[in-house]
Amino acid sequence: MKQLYLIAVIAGEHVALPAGLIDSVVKVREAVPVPSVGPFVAGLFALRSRVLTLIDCQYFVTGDAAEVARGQPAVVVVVAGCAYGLLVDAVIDVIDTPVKPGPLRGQLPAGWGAIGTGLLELVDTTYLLIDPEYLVNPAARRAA
Amino acid sequence: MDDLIQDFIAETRETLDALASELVLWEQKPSDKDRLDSIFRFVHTVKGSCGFLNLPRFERLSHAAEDVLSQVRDGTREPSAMLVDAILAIIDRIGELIAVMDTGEALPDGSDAGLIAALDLDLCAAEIARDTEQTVHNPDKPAPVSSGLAVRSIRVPLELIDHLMNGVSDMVLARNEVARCLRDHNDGPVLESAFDRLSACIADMRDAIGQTRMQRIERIFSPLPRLVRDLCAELGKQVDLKTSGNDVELDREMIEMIRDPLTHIIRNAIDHGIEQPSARLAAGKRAEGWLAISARQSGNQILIEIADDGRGIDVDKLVARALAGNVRGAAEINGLSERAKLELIFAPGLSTADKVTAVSGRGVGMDVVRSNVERIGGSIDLENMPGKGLKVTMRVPLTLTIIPCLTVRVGNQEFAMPRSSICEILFDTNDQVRIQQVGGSYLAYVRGECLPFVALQDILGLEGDAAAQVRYRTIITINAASDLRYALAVDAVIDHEELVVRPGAPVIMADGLYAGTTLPDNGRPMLLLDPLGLANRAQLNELAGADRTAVQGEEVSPVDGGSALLFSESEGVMRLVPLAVVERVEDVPVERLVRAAGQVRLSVNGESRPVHGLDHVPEGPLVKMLHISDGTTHIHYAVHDVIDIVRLPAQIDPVSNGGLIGGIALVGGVQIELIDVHWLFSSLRSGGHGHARPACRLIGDDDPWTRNILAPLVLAAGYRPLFGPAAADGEEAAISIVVGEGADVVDRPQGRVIRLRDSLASGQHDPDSIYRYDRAALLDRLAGNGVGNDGERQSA
Repeated sequence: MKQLYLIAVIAGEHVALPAGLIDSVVKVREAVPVPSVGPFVAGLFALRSRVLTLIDCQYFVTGDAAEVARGQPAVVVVVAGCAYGLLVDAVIDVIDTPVKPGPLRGQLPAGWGAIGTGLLELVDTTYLLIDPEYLVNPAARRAA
Repeated sequence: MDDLIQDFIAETRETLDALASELVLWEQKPSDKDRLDSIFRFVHTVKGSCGFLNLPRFERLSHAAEDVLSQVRDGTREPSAMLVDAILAIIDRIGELIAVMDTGEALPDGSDAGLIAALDLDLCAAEIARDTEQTVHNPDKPAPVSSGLAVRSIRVPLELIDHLMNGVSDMVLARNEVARCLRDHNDGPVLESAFDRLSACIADMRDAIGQTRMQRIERIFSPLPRLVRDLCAELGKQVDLKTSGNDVELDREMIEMIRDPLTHIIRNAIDHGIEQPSARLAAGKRAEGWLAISARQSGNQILIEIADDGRGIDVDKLVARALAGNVRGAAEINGLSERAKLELIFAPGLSTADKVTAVSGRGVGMDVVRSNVERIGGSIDLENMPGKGLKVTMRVPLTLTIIPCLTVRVGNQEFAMPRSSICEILFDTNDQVRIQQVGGSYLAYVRGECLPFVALQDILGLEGDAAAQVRYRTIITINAASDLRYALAVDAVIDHEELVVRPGAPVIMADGLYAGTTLPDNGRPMLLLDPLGLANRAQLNELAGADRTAVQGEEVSPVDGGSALLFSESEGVMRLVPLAVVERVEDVPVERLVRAAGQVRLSVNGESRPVHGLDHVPEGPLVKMLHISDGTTHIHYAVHDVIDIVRLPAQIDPVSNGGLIGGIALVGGVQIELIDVHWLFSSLRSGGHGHARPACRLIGDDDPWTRNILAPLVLAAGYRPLFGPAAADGEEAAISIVVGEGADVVDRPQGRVIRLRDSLASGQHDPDSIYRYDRAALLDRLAGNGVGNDGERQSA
């Protein structure tokens, strides 16, 4: 059985996102900051009449908040009925592969360790598999 | 009620259709338990619904069938073929009656006794049933024909409506974007007019979709009689329930949200409020208690009042319980005002019930009710009359999704705040406001009232502006919860908008500061602030209680009579008017005023309205005008100048000379007249007379003659003309004018009747009738039932 993955760039590195939760890829025109919430929330942005929460993926890795550039791509995911935009540096490709994700090989550095769930080893290259559900609500994982 | 009956018809039809095959199968195999159960359920549902819809015929039928079916279920009776026939006959009869009801006709007369008797006579019963079946069909009407008058409806899942709603919101935003493009390019009038048409369509659509979400409050009121009856039976009490305002509409979801709080309050009222009949008699009350539940719309809020004539809340007992239950410290409780003590009823885990009953008294109660109501942006107020009763007023917003908001700016970001919690907007340059630093925190004194003062930018942790201390700032006083008020500083208040609010992502909501997100027409997302969340973040809760008691100690006289507007009349006298009734103050150009018919009148939105307080059109370009409103009617009150807003003392000395002045209030040692708003409305509404106009119904064709020629005459004679059938507005007319012959067949005339005929000589008609242009005779008849003595004539 083949599985679809979206290949995107987070903090300069190519990663894979399972396509199951992904709704679309959009360009963020403008993000309105949300004061006082977790620093990984880059703000709110409008997608047609919906208001989506923009998640700064880079923050998880580097600990530095990203500056939202006009037209920067965001991957729209729907988790628990709520839509989010995952702010990425770029979206590269969609791949369709029968390869099953494997376990991580050893401990990753802190930032990557939190968001990475496994390795997607293809013939010529290997991607880190990212868990969107963790990105949109890290507190839920910690509580569990 | 009509809605409910329509629902009942639709539901019964649907089940009947579904049941058809079951019936056949049951007939073939009467011992089939599953089929029997589903038929039993149907009959039971019909019986339940027609109980409160007052359909005795259905009830008799279904009740009889239910009895027999339950015997069959219990196995005490064998399902013989005759019995099956009899039950099928009853179900058929229900189907026929439903079909008749659906056409909007009255149910035909006829007895179902034969059908019911057939149930018990297992022998030869079916014969009787077949005979009586004929009674349903009227011989001269072949079959009930759908007249098209009945309201046709379909059931739609709520998700579909939500989907439509989202679609319309998308459309509105797309329209706004197109509007911006059009402004930039300016492509000529043709495109513009086409776009305007599109805009209007979209606006219409938005309204219509909004309407589909509305539902009558009847939906939660109608099961109440049953609830009250059951509770009374359980507790051995007698309660007379009255509901009013059944046709008030509110959002479907909102109806669901208030169902539980309402039920809870009613349970409390019957369990704790209304006494046992013997205790009531001992207290000099009627054995039967009353419980009145009313709903009405006030602006964009719905007020639901639940009033009973029970024992009220025993505040001393409540305080004792609070002390015993360690709800708060003893010193703090003893220092509370009467009101605040009463509010202890909302403290978690507190109940005045002496024992836990099956109905209430478990201590999970009013705190949950209040938090549920506040969660949807509502509030609860209590009016306690110890020994005499309790009135609970629930205020809830009209819809969950559309909230009237104030948009404010802090730094370069905009936020929305629900307007329901905002009391007042002030500038810090106002001399009524004094801000003082006390122990590292700030306090704002607004007209003597001390409120904790915080800046929104500090709470949100936004970049502080270096010049913030120097700049003018806007201060909003906020009523975050019933016992928590504070002043909030923002950079600017931008606008008042009605916003469609959606819940935000969990990460945002978890922060506690925000109540949701919204997308205003400019397409920039905005956050809705939660006033209570802001207060919690600023840790104001502990402060507020202490401040309240401190203020109460300082005051010479208790000030809880509400706020009032102090103004000067054109002759220089200072007067007060309760602030709650003043909608706004407006400077009106004198061009809009005219002196006509002995009054000064103001033209407002194409209407001419009388103005109080002017006997001639004044000179000068502008007149200051108070807009006073009772929720439906507006009165314009011309004043010389508006001076201040003051707190009224609790004690107002009443003056009852039946005029403009209702009392004298002592404000700051000065005696000032307080306007009697009730008098104001009663005097101006009837055009200067002290009485409300009696109604006069004009019966006949609603033609231009009736409306344009007769109605003004009736109005001038001191009556309020009513058009259309009495059933449509439900008003009792003191006098009826029947226009043309045979018109009263449609509607029965009420009160005294005047008949008008079309031609001068119509001797063959009713000799008592008047020719329609016999002005003198007509006025004479009208005057004969004049304003002053219509009461006694009506009763005669």
